[in-house]
Amino acid sequence: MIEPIKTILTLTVLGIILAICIAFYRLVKGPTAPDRVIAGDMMANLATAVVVILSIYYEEAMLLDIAILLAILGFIGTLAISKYVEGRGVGD
Amino acid sequence: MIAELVGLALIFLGVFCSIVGSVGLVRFPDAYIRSHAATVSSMGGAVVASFGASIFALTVNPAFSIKAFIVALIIIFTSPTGTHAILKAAHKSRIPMWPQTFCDKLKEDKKIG
Repeated sequence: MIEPIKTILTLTVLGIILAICIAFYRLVKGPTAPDRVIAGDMMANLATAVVVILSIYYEEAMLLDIAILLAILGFIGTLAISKYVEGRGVGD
Repeated sequence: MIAELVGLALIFLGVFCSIVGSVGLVRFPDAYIRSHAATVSSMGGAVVASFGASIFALTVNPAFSIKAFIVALIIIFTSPTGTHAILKAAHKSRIPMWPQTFCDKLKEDKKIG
């Protein structure tokens, strides 16, 4: 792959990592449990995108299997925590 | 070359949408409204970036391209399902809404029947 494309891909990965760091603020601070779960779900999806872009950076098809695994595990985690939140009262 | 340029443009669109969505996630007032920003970031960010990666590798390595497309499809199907589940649980456990909310159709439906 030519050199400028590698630089551009590095910049895009850094941009998505910046977005993950901004969402991490809501994950730490979020007043209720659903706020934290929504932030965590979004961070899992963005991490999937980071792994996909890294796989075209390194030209390594094995990383895409890890991306599929990340997407499915984030979904299962969200469903499990939503069943846990459902039976409780107001607040944490 | 054309496919690589289109793919890079889509990846840039995805990066822009993900940063906008995360800023919305920090600044919006309650959990129900924040889910809107999270959807912008998942759909416009992760799905469009994965689709762009799929188009980027289309001419060089078609098997790679199909795999990246499958990643995008998985996020398209799972992200709305997870958001719906967690927000229905939040409504059932009476997480408070923003005080200026004026419309809650689910509560009205539960009151009727």
